[in-house]
Amino acid sequence: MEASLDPEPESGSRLIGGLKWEDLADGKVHRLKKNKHFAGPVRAILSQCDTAAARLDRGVLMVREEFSRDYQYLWVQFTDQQLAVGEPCRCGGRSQTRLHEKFGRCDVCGASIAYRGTYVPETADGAPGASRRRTAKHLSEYQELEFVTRDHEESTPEEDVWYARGVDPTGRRVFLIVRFPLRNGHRIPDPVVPGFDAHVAFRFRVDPFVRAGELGVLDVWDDVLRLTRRTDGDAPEPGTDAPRG
Amino acid sequence: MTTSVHEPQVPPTAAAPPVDVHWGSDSLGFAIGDLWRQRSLLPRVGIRVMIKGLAGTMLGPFWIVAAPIVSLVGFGFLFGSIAKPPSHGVPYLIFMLAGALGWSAFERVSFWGTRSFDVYRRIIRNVNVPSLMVPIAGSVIAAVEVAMTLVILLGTLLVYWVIDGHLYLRFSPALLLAPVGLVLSVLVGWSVAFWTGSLNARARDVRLVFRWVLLIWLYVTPVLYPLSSLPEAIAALARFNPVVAPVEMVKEGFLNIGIVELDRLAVTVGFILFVGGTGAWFCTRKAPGFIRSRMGLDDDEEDF
Repeated sequence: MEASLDPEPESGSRLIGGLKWEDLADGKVHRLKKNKHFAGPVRAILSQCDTAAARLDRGVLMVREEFSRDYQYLWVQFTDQQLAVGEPCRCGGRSQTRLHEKFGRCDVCGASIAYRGTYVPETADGAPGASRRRTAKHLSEYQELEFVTRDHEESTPEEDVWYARGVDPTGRRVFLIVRFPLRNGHRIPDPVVPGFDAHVAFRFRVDPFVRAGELGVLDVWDDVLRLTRRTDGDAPEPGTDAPRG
Repeated sequence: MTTSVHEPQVPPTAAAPPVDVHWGSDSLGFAIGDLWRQRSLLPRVGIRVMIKGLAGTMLGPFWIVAAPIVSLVGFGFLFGSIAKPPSHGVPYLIFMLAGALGWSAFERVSFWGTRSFDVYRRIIRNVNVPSLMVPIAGSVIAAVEVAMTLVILLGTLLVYWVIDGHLYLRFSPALLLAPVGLVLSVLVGWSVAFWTGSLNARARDVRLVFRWVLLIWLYVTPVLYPLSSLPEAIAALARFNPVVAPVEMVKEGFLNIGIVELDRLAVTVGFILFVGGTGAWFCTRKAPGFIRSRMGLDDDEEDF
Protein backbone atom coordinates (compact mmCIF):
# COMPACT_ATOMS: atom_id res chain seq x y z
CA MET A 1 0.00 0.00 0.00
CA GLU A 2 1.59 3.19 -1.16
CA ALA A 3 -0.12 5.23 1.51
CA SER A 4 1.64 3.37 4.29
CA LEU A 5 5.08 3.85 2.81
CA ASP A 6 7.56 6.40 3.99
CA PRO A 7 7.33 9.86 2.44
CA GLU A 8 9.52 11.26 -0.33
CA PRO A 9 8.09 8.99 -3.02
CA GLU A 10 8.73 11.61 -5.67
CA SER A 11 12.36 10.59 -5.99
CA GLY A 12 11.56 6.99 -6.90
CA SER A 13 13.10 5.32 -3.87
CA ARG A 14 11.59 5.08 -0.43
CA LEU A 15 11.79 3.26 2.84
CA ILE A 16 9.25 0.47 3.17
CA GLY A 17 7.85 -1.72 5.90
CA GLY A 18 6.97 1.21 8.12
CA LEU A 19 10.63 2.10 8.54
CA LYS A 20 11.39 5.79 9.05
CA TRP A 21 14.64 7.69 8.85
CA GLU A 22 14.01 8.81 12.42
CA ASP A 23 14.19 5.16 13.51
CA LEU A 24 17.65 4.89 12.04
CA ALA A 25 19.02 8.06 13.61
CA ASP A 26 20.20 6.35 16.79
CA GLY A 27 23.94 6.55 16.15
CA LYS A 28 24.21 2.85 15.32
CA VAL A 29 25.23 1.35 11.99
CA HIS A 30 22.25 -0.04 10.08
CA ARG A 31 22.13 -2.26 7.05
CA LEU A 32 19.17 -1.68 4.76
CA LYS A 33 18.31 -4.30 2.19
CA LYS A 34 16.58 -3.55 -1.07
CA ASN A 35 12.95 -4.71 -1.22
CA LYS A 36 13.02 -5.39 2.51
CA HIS A 37 13.83 -1.99 3.95
CA PHE A 38 13.67 0.20 0.87
CA ALA A 39 12.33 0.12 -2.65
CA GLY A 40 13.91 1.62 -5.73
CA PRO A 41 17.50 2.15 -6.79
CA VAL A 42 20.16 2.23 -4.09
CA ARG A 43 21.68 5.39 -5.53
CA ALA A 44 18.37 7.20 -5.17
CA ILE A 45 17.92 6.12 -1.57
CA LEU A 46 21.39 7.51 -0.88
CA SER A 47 20.32 11.02 -1.76
CA GLN A 48 17.15 10.58 0.26
CA CYS A 49 19.28 9.58 3.21
CA ASP A 50 21.29 12.76 2.80
CA THR A 51 18.11 14.79 2.63
CA ALA A 52 16.77 13.06 5.73
CA ALA A 53 19.98 13.85 7.60
CA ALA A 54 19.62 17.52 6.71
CA ARG A 55 15.96 17.48 7.76
CA LEU A 56 16.84 15.82 11.09
CA ASP A 57 19.83 18.15 11.48
CA ARG A 58 22.18 15.19 11.74
CA GLY A 59 25.25 14.00 9.97
CA VAL A 60 25.24 10.75 8.07
CA LEU A 61 27.74 8.19 6.82
CA MET A 62 26.66 5.86 4.04
CA VAL A 63 27.97 3.17 1.79
CA ARG A 64 26.11 1.15 -0.79
CA GLU A 65 26.78 -2.40 -1.82
CA GLU A 66 25.38 -4.04 -4.90
CA PHE A 67 26.48 -7.65 -5.22
CA SER A 68 23.75 -8.62 -7.66
CA ARG A 69 20.20 -7.72 -8.52
CA ASP A 70 18.92 -9.55 -5.45
CA TYR A 71 21.56 -8.42 -3.02
CA GLN A 72 21.66 -4.65 -2.79
CA TYR A 73 22.33 -2.90 0.47
CA LEU A 74 22.77 0.50 2.00
CA TRP A 75 24.83 0.78 5.16
CA VAL A 76 23.96 3.93 7.02
CA GLN A 77 24.99 5.58 10.27
CA PHE A 78 23.56 8.85 11.51
CA THR A 79 25.68 11.04 13.76
CA ASP A 80 24.83 13.94 16.03
CA GLN A 81 26.21 16.45 13.57
CA GLN A 82 28.04 16.89 10.32
CA LEU A 83 31.15 19.06 10.34
CA ALA A 84 33.97 19.88 8.04
CA VAL A 85 37.36 18.89 9.39
CA GLY A 86 38.51 21.79 11.54
CA GLU A 87 35.03 23.13 12.22
CA PRO A 88 34.16 23.52 15.89
CA CYS A 89 31.49 21.39 17.52
CA ARG A 90 28.04 22.84 18.01
CA CYS A 91 28.73 22.99 21.72
CA GLY A 92 31.65 25.30 20.94
CA GLY A 93 34.19 22.64 21.84
CA ARG A 94 37.38 23.01 19.89
CA SER A 95 38.92 19.63 20.54
CA GLN A 96 37.83 16.56 18.62
CA THR A 97 39.07 13.00 18.49
CA ARG A 98 38.99 11.67 14.97
CA LEU A 99 38.41 7.92 15.21
CA HIS A 100 37.92 7.27 11.53
CA GLU A 101 38.45 9.07 8.23
CA LYS A 102 34.82 10.12 8.35
CA PHE A 103 33.87 9.84 12.01
CA GLY A 104 34.89 11.48 15.25
CA ARG A 105 33.71 12.70 18.62
CA CYS A 106 33.78 16.05 20.36
CA ASP A 107 36.06 15.82 23.39
CA VAL A 108 33.91 18.33 25.24
CA CYS A 109 30.36 17.07 24.82
CA GLY A 110 30.92 13.59 23.35
CA ALA A 111 28.71 14.27 20.33
CA SER A 112 29.43 12.07 17.33
CA ILE A 113 30.61 13.79 14.16
CA ALA A 114 30.42 12.87 10.48
CA TYR A 115 33.26 14.63 8.70
CA ARG A 116 32.86 16.02 5.21
CA GLY A 117 35.20 18.46 3.52
CA THR A 118 37.60 20.94 5.01
CA TYR A 119 36.62 23.94 7.07
CA VAL A 120 37.82 27.52 6.74
CA PRO A 121 36.49 29.77 9.49
CA GLU A 122 35.15 33.23 8.71
CA THR A 123 37.35 36.05 9.90
CA ALA A 124 36.15 39.41 11.20
CA ASP A 125 35.82 40.73 7.66
CA GLY A 126 33.82 37.76 6.49
CA ALA A 127 30.15 37.05 6.80
CA PRO A 128 29.09 36.66 10.41
CA GLY A 129 27.91 33.36 11.77
CA ALA A 130 29.67 30.73 9.74
CA SER A 131 27.18 28.27 8.39
CA ARG A 132 27.88 24.58 8.79
CA ARG A 133 26.49 24.03 5.32
CA ARG A 134 28.82 26.58 3.79
CA THR A 135 31.34 25.32 1.28
CA ALA A 136 34.72 25.12 2.94
CA LYS A 137 37.61 26.85 1.23
CA HIS A 138 40.10 24.40 -0.05
CA LEU A 139 43.62 25.34 -1.13
CA SER A 140 42.66 24.38 -4.65
CA GLU A 141 40.34 27.40 -4.73
CA TYR A 142 43.13 29.95 -4.33
CA GLN A 143 45.08 31.55 -7.14
CA GLU A 144 48.76 32.44 -7.02
CA LEU A 145 49.15 30.26 -3.96
CA GLU A 146 52.62 30.46 -2.50
CA PHE A 147 53.86 28.77 0.62
CA VAL A 148 56.14 31.26 2.32
CA THR A 149 57.51 29.50 5.35
CA ARG A 150 56.96 26.65 7.74
CA ASP A 151 56.17 27.52 11.34
CA HIS A 152 58.74 25.38 13.10
CA GLU A 153 57.55 26.27 16.60
CA GLU A 154 53.91 25.48 15.92
CA SER A 155 54.60 22.34 13.91
CA THR A 156 54.50 19.05 15.80
CA PRO A 157 55.03 15.39 14.84
CA GLU A 158 51.25 15.24 14.31
CA GLU A 159 50.81 18.47 12.42
CA ASP A 160 52.76 20.59 9.95
CA VAL A 161 51.98 24.32 10.03
CA TRP A 162 52.73 26.60 7.09
CA TYR A 163 52.18 30.23 6.23
CA ALA A 164 51.07 30.92 2.71
CA ARG A 165 49.65 33.70 0.61
CA GLY A 166 47.38 33.84 -2.38
CA VAL A 167 44.26 35.32 -3.93
CA ASP A 168 40.94 34.01 -2.75
CA PRO A 169 38.01 33.13 -5.05
CA THR A 170 36.60 36.66 -4.68
CA GLY A 171 39.86 38.17 -5.90
CA ARG A 172 41.06 39.45 -2.52
CA ARG A 173 44.60 38.98 -1.33
CA VAL A 174 44.82 36.73 1.70
CA PHE A 175 47.41 35.11 3.81
CA LEU A 176 46.80 31.63 5.05
CA ILE A 177 47.76 29.51 8.00
CA VAL A 178 47.62 25.96 6.73
CA ARG A 179 47.68 23.00 9.05
CA PHE A 180 48.53 19.60 7.57
CA PRO A 181 47.77 16.58 9.75
CA LEU A 182 50.64 14.10 9.64
CA ARG A 183 50.62 10.36 9.75
CA ASN A 184 53.93 8.70 10.55
CA GLY A 185 55.58 12.03 9.83
CA HIS A 186 54.07 12.33 6.36
CA ARG A 187 51.19 14.35 5.04
CA ILE A 188 48.01 12.54 4.15
CA PRO A 189 46.82 12.72 0.55
CA ASP A 190 43.56 14.60 0.30
CA PRO A 191 40.90 11.96 -0.31
CA VAL A 192 38.71 14.46 -2.16
CA VAL A 193 41.01 16.63 -4.24
CA PRO A 194 43.82 14.74 -5.98
CA GLY A 195 47.20 16.39 -5.92
CA PHE A 196 46.65 18.04 -2.55
CA ASP A 197 47.38 16.96 0.97
CA ALA A 198 44.66 16.93 3.60
CA HIS A 199 44.68 20.26 5.39
CA VAL A 200 42.82 22.91 7.32
CA ALA A 201 43.37 26.41 5.91
CA PHE A 202 42.68 29.58 7.90
CA ARG A 203 42.52 32.61 5.67
CA PHE A 204 42.98 36.25 6.61
CA ARG A 205 42.37 39.03 4.14
CA VAL A 206 45.38 41.25 3.83
CA ASP A 207 43.63 44.51 2.91
CA PRO A 208 42.37 45.46 6.40
CA PHE A 209 45.82 44.89 7.87
CA VAL A 210 47.43 47.04 5.21
CA ARG A 211 44.88 49.78 5.84
CA ALA A 212 45.33 49.41 9.59
CA GLY A 213 49.03 49.90 9.07
CA GLU A 214 48.45 53.01 6.97
CA LEU A 215 46.20 54.47 9.67
CA GLY A 216 48.71 53.71 12.39
CA VAL A 217 46.33 51.43 14.19
CA LEU A 218 49.03 48.90 14.80
CA ASP A 219 51.34 51.57 16.23
CA VAL A 220 49.36 51.84 19.45
CA TRP A 221 50.58 48.42 20.54
CA ASP A 222 54.21 48.09 21.39
CA ASP A 223 54.12 44.32 21.14
CA VAL A 224 53.21 44.32 17.46
CA LEU A 225 56.23 43.50 15.38
CA ARG A 226 57.03 46.16 12.86
CA LEU A 227 57.16 45.06 9.27
CA THR A 228 60.65 45.11 7.90
CA ARG A 229 61.86 44.50 4.42
CA ARG A 230 62.71 40.88 3.93
CA THR A 231 66.31 39.98 3.49
CA ASP A 232 67.78 36.92 1.89
CA GLY A 233 68.23 35.42 5.33
CA ASP A 234 64.49 35.32 5.81
CA ALA A 235 63.90 33.05 2.86
CA PRO A 236 62.45 29.63 3.56
CA GLU A 237 64.99 27.00 4.37
CA PRO A 238 66.12 25.15 1.30
CA GLY A 239 65.08 21.54 1.30
CA THR A 240 61.97 22.02 3.38
CA ASP A 241 59.17 20.02 1.90
CA ALA A 242 56.88 22.71 0.54
CA PRO A 243 53.31 21.47 0.40
CA ARG A 244 51.57 20.68 -2.81
CA GLY A 245 49.15 23.24 -4.03
CA MET B 1 23.42 62.47 17.82
CA THR B 2 26.92 62.14 16.55
CA THR B 3 29.31 59.49 17.55
CA SER B 4 32.65 60.51 18.86
CA VAL B 5 35.64 58.68 17.60
CA HIS B 6 36.67 58.39 21.23
CA GLU B 7 33.44 56.70 22.23
CA PRO B 8 34.08 53.10 23.25
CA GLN B 9 33.32 50.76 20.43
CA VAL B 10 32.47 47.10 20.74
CA PRO B 11 35.70 45.36 19.78
CA PRO B 12 35.47 42.65 17.18
CA THR B 13 35.56 39.19 18.59
CA ALA B 14 39.06 37.85 18.82
CA ALA B 15 39.85 35.09 16.40
CA ALA B 16 39.14 31.78 18.06
CA PRO B 17 41.98 29.30 18.31
CA PRO B 18 41.99 26.61 15.66
CA VAL B 19 40.05 23.45 16.35
CA ASP B 20 42.26 20.65 17.53
CA VAL B 21 41.32 17.57 15.54
CA HIS B 22 43.54 14.71 16.62
CA TRP B 23 43.57 11.07 15.67
CA GLY B 24 42.64 8.72 18.45
CA SER B 25 40.90 5.51 19.32
CA ASP B 26 38.33 4.38 21.83
CA SER B 27 39.30 2.87 25.14
CA LEU B 28 38.88 -0.89 25.46
CA GLY B 29 36.01 -0.39 27.90
CA PHE B 30 34.18 1.92 25.52
CA ALA B 31 34.87 -0.44 22.61
CA ILE B 32 33.37 -3.38 24.49
CA GLY B 33 30.33 -1.27 25.39
CA ASP B 34 29.96 -0.14 21.79
CA LEU B 35 30.25 -3.74 20.61
CA TRP B 36 27.45 -4.74 22.95
CA ARG B 37 25.31 -1.76 21.98
CA GLN B 38 25.56 -2.62 18.30
CA ARG B 39 25.50 -6.41 18.71
CA SER B 40 22.50 -6.76 16.40
CA LEU B 41 24.77 -5.60 13.59
CA LEU B 42 27.11 -8.57 14.01
CA PRO B 43 25.26 -11.17 11.87
CA ARG B 44 24.58 -8.59 9.18
CA VAL B 45 28.23 -7.68 8.90
CA GLY B 46 29.28 -11.30 9.19
CA ILE B 47 27.00 -12.77 6.56
CA ARG B 48 28.16 -10.21 4.02
CA VAL B 49 31.13 -12.38 3.05
CA MET B 50 28.87 -15.30 2.31
CA ILE B 51 26.42 -13.18 0.33
CA LYS B 52 29.24 -11.69 -1.68
CA GLY B 53 30.79 -15.11 -2.23
CA LEU B 54 27.58 -16.73 -3.37
CA ALA B 55 26.31 -13.80 -5.43
CA GLY B 56 28.42 -14.73 -8.42
CA THR B 57 27.73 -18.48 -8.39
CA MET B 58 25.09 -20.47 -10.26
CA LEU B 59 24.62 -23.14 -7.60
CA GLY B 60 24.48 -20.64 -4.74
CA PRO B 61 23.93 -22.21 -1.27
CA PHE B 62 24.81 -25.65 -2.65
CA TRP B 63 28.46 -24.76 -2.14
CA ILE B 64 27.93 -24.20 1.57
CA VAL B 65 26.98 -27.87 1.82
CA ALA B 66 29.16 -29.38 -0.87
CA ALA B 67 32.51 -27.83 -0.04
CA PRO B 68 32.91 -29.24 3.50
CA ILE B 69 31.46 -32.63 2.55
CA VAL B 70 33.94 -33.09 -0.26
CA SER B 71 36.92 -31.86 1.72
CA LEU B 72 36.19 -33.54 5.07
CA VAL B 73 34.76 -36.87 3.96
CA GLY B 74 37.21 -37.16 1.09
CA PHE B 75 40.16 -36.33 3.29
CA GLY B 76 38.91 -38.65 6.05
CA PHE B 77 38.62 -41.65 3.75
CA LEU B 78 41.89 -40.93 2.01
CA PHE B 79 43.99 -40.27 5.12
CA GLY B 80 42.29 -43.11 7.05
CA SER B 81 42.93 -45.69 4.35
CA ILE B 82 46.51 -44.61 3.62
CA ALA B 83 47.94 -43.70 7.02
CA LYS B 84 45.64 -45.93 9.06
CA PRO B 85 46.15 -44.01 12.31
CA PRO B 86 44.69 -45.46 15.54
CA SER B 87 41.22 -44.18 16.34
CA HIS B 88 40.34 -45.53 19.78
CA GLY B 89 38.01 -48.20 18.44
CA VAL B 90 35.69 -45.96 16.47
CA PRO B 91 35.69 -45.73 12.65
CA TYR B 92 38.44 -43.38 11.58
CA LEU B 93 36.07 -41.12 9.67
CA ILE B 94 34.02 -40.51 12.82
CA PHE B 95 37.17 -40.03 14.88
CA MET B 96 38.54 -37.52 12.41
CA LEU B 97 35.26 -35.64 12.03
CA ALA B 98 34.88 -35.22 15.81
CA GLY B 99 38.39 -33.80 16.01
CA ALA B 100 37.79 -31.67 12.94
CA LEU B 101 34.67 -30.22 14.54
CA GLY B 102 36.60 -28.92 17.55
CA TRP B 103 39.50 -27.81 15.36
CA SER B 104 37.35 -26.07 12.75
CA ALA B 105 35.69 -23.92 15.42
CA PHE B 106 39.14 -22.50 16.14
CA GLU B 107 40.58 -22.64 12.65
CA ARG B 108 37.66 -21.10 10.78
CA VAL B 109 37.16 -18.36 13.38
CA SER B 110 40.82 -17.38 13.37
CA PHE B 111 41.05 -17.69 9.56
CA TRP B 112 38.11 -15.39 8.86
CA GLY B 113 39.08 -13.14 11.75
CA THR B 114 42.53 -12.68 10.24
CA ARG B 115 41.03 -11.66 6.91
CA SER B 116 38.23 -9.63 8.45
CA PHE B 117 39.65 -6.12 8.13
CA ASP B 118 40.25 -6.87 4.44
CA VAL B 119 36.92 -8.43 3.61
CA TYR B 120 34.93 -5.77 5.44
CA ARG B 121 37.16 -2.95 4.28
CA ARG B 122 34.54 -1.21 2.20
CA ILE B 123 32.16 -0.98 5.13
CA ILE B 124 34.62 -0.06 7.83
CA ARG B 125 36.08 2.69 5.68
CA ASN B 126 32.71 4.35 5.26
CA VAL B 127 30.85 3.80 8.51
CA ASN B 128 32.17 3.47 12.04
CA VAL B 129 31.80 -0.24 12.81
CA PRO B 130 33.13 -1.05 16.31
CA SER B 131 36.71 -2.28 15.90
CA LEU B 132 36.20 -5.37 18.01
CA MET B 133 33.22 -6.38 15.93
CA VAL B 134 35.27 -6.79 12.77
CA PRO B 135 37.34 -9.88 13.73
CA ILE B 136 34.35 -11.32 15.57
CA ALA B 137 32.06 -10.81 12.57
CA GLY B 138 34.22 -13.28 10.68
CA SER B 139 32.86 -15.91 13.06
CA VAL B 140 29.45 -15.75 11.44
CA ILE B 141 30.60 -17.43 8.27
CA ALA B 142 32.81 -19.68 10.41
CA ALA B 143 29.73 -20.69 12.41
CA VAL B 144 28.00 -21.79 9.22
CA GLU B 145 31.02 -23.85 8.23
CA VAL B 146 31.33 -25.40 11.70
CA ALA B 147 27.63 -26.17 11.68
CA MET B 148 28.11 -27.99 8.39
CA THR B 149 30.91 -30.04 9.96
CA LEU B 150 28.56 -30.92 12.81
CA VAL B 151 25.87 -31.97 10.36
CA ILE B 152 28.39 -34.12 8.50
CA LEU B 153 29.51 -35.71 11.79
CA LEU B 154 25.94 -36.46 12.85
CA GLY B 155 25.12 -37.77 9.38
CA THR B 156 28.16 -40.04 9.44
CA LEU B 157 27.22 -41.32 12.90
CA LEU B 158 23.77 -42.09 11.51
CA VAL B 159 25.19 -43.91 8.51
CA TYR B 160 27.46 -46.04 10.70
CA TRP B 161 24.53 -46.73 13.02
CA VAL B 162 22.61 -48.12 10.08
CA ILE B 163 25.58 -50.03 8.62
CA ASP B 164 27.27 -51.30 11.81
CA GLY B 165 24.18 -51.35 14.00
CA HIS B 166 26.19 -49.46 16.59
CA LEU B 167 25.64 -45.85 17.60
CA TYR B 168 29.00 -44.32 18.44
CA LEU B 169 27.43 -41.15 19.77
CA ARG B 170 27.38 -41.16 23.54
CA PHE B 171 24.28 -39.88 25.31
CA SER B 172 25.29 -38.84 28.81
CA PRO B 173 25.84 -35.63 30.78
CA ALA B 174 29.39 -35.70 29.43
CA LEU B 175 27.90 -34.75 26.07
CA LEU B 176 27.85 -31.21 27.46
CA LEU B 177 31.63 -31.18 27.18
CA ALA B 178 31.23 -30.88 23.41
CA PRO B 179 29.54 -27.46 23.32
CA VAL B 180 31.87 -26.22 26.05
CA GLY B 181 34.81 -27.36 23.95
CA LEU B 182 33.39 -25.61 20.91
CA VAL B 183 32.94 -22.38 22.84
CA LEU B 184 36.52 -22.56 24.11
CA SER B 185 37.72 -23.21 20.57
CA VAL B 186 35.90 -20.12 19.34
CA LEU B 187 37.36 -18.03 22.17
CA VAL B 188 40.88 -19.20 21.31
CA GLY B 189 40.12 -18.32 17.68
CA TRP B 190 39.00 -14.82 18.63
CA SER B 191 42.08 -14.36 20.82
CA VAL B 192 44.31 -15.11 17.86
CA ALA B 193 42.17 -13.17 15.40
CA PHE B 194 42.32 -9.95 17.44
CA TRP B 195 46.06 -9.95 16.84
CA THR B 196 46.32 -11.42 13.37
CA GLY B 197 43.34 -9.48 12.04
CA SER B 198 44.74 -6.18 13.28
CA LEU B 199 48.23 -6.92 11.99
CA ASN B 200 46.83 -8.09 8.66
CA ALA B 201 45.13 -4.73 8.36
CA ARG B 202 48.64 -3.28 8.35
CA ALA B 203 50.30 -5.86 6.12
CA ARG B 204 48.69 -8.69 4.22
CA ASP B 205 51.77 -10.82 4.70
CA VAL B 206 50.20 -11.86 7.99
CA ARG B 207 47.38 -13.64 6.21
CA LEU B 208 49.79 -15.54 3.99
CA VAL B 209 52.02 -16.57 6.87
CA PHE B 210 49.03 -17.49 9.02
CA ARG B 211 47.92 -20.16 6.54
CA TRP B 212 51.16 -22.00 7.13
CA VAL B 213 50.97 -21.45 10.86
CA LEU B 214 47.52 -23.03 10.85
CA LEU B 215 48.78 -26.01 8.90
CA ILE B 216 51.60 -26.62 11.36
CA TRP B 217 49.21 -25.97 14.24
CA LEU B 218 46.92 -28.71 12.91
CA TYR B 219 49.73 -31.26 13.14
CA VAL B 220 50.33 -30.54 16.83
CA THR B 221 46.62 -30.90 17.56
CA PRO B 222 44.97 -34.32 17.93
CA VAL B 223 42.67 -34.06 14.96
CA LEU B 224 44.04 -36.53 12.43
CA TYR B 225 45.50 -38.87 15.03
CA PRO B 226 45.03 -39.33 18.78
CA LEU B 227 47.09 -37.43 21.30
CA SER B 228 48.82 -40.65 22.35
CA SER B 229 50.17 -41.12 18.81
CA LEU B 230 52.02 -37.82 18.73
CA PRO B 231 55.82 -38.11 18.62
CA GLU B 232 57.48 -37.13 21.89
CA ALA B 233 58.81 -33.80 20.65
CA ILE B 234 55.45 -32.79 19.22
CA ALA B 235 53.64 -34.07 22.30
CA ALA B 236 55.76 -31.74 24.46
CA LEU B 237 54.82 -28.87 22.17
CA ALA B 238 51.20 -29.91 22.28
CA ARG B 239 51.14 -29.40 26.04
CA PHE B 240 51.20 -25.67 25.37
CA ASN B 241 48.72 -25.87 22.53
CA PRO B 242 45.53 -24.08 23.67
CA VAL B 243 43.42 -25.90 21.09
CA VAL B 244 44.17 -29.41 22.42
CA ALA B 245 41.83 -29.22 25.41
CA PRO B 246 38.80 -27.98 23.39
CA VAL B 247 39.34 -30.62 20.70
CA GLU B 248 39.64 -33.35 23.31
CA MET B 249 36.51 -32.08 25.04
CA VAL B 250 34.54 -32.34 21.81
CA LYS B 251 35.80 -35.87 21.20
CA GLU B 252 35.12 -36.88 24.78
CA GLY B 253 31.67 -35.33 24.69
CA PHE B 254 30.53 -37.01 21.50
CA LEU B 255 32.48 -40.26 21.46
CA ASN B 256 33.99 -40.79 24.93
CA ILE B 257 37.49 -41.01 23.41
CA GLY B 258 39.01 -37.68 24.48
CA ILE B 259 41.57 -36.96 27.17
CA VAL B 260 40.49 -33.94 29.19
CA GLU B 261 43.22 -32.82 31.58
CA LEU B 262 43.09 -29.85 33.88
CA ASP B 263 46.57 -28.59 33.04
CA ARG B 264 45.70 -28.48 29.33
CA LEU B 265 42.46 -26.74 30.16
CA ALA B 266 44.42 -24.21 32.23
CA VAL B 267 46.63 -23.51 29.21
CA THR B 268 43.52 -22.85 27.13
CA VAL B 269 41.90 -20.55 29.68
CA GLY B 270 45.18 -18.74 30.32
CA PHE B 271 45.68 -18.26 26.59
CA ILE B 272 42.20 -16.81 26.19
CA LEU B 273 42.62 -14.44 29.12
CA PHE B 274 46.09 -13.22 28.24
CA VAL B 275 46.27 -13.36 24.45
CA GLY B 276 42.59 -12.54 24.05
CA GLY B 277 42.71 -9.64 26.51
CA THR B 278 45.82 -8.06 25.07
CA GLY B 279 44.57 -8.79 21.56
CA ALA B 280 41.30 -6.97 22.21
CA TRP B 281 43.25 -4.00 23.52
CA PHE B 282 45.59 -4.08 20.51
CA CYS B 283 42.71 -4.37 18.09
CA THR B 284 40.88 -1.43 19.65
CA ARG B 285 43.90 0.84 19.83
CA LYS B 286 45.86 -0.05 16.72
CA ALA B 287 43.57 -1.49 14.06
CA PRO B 288 41.91 1.85 13.16
CA GLY B 289 45.33 3.38 12.53
CA PHE B 290 46.40 0.39 10.47
CA ILE B 291 43.30 0.72 8.31
CA ARG B 292 43.99 4.41 7.77
CA SER B 293 47.59 3.66 6.85
CA ARG B 294 46.37 1.56 3.92
CA MET B 295 43.72 4.02 2.80
CA GLY B 296 43.55 4.21 -0.95
CA LEU B 297 46.52 1.95 -1.50
CA ASP B 298 44.81 -1.25 -2.36
CA ASP B 299 41.12 -0.75 -2.52
CA ASP B 300 39.81 -1.42 -5.97
CA GLU B 301 36.22 -1.11 -4.90
CA GLU B 302 34.26 1.97 -5.74
CA ASP B 303 33.64 4.46 -2.98
CA PHE B 304 31.50 7.49 -3.14
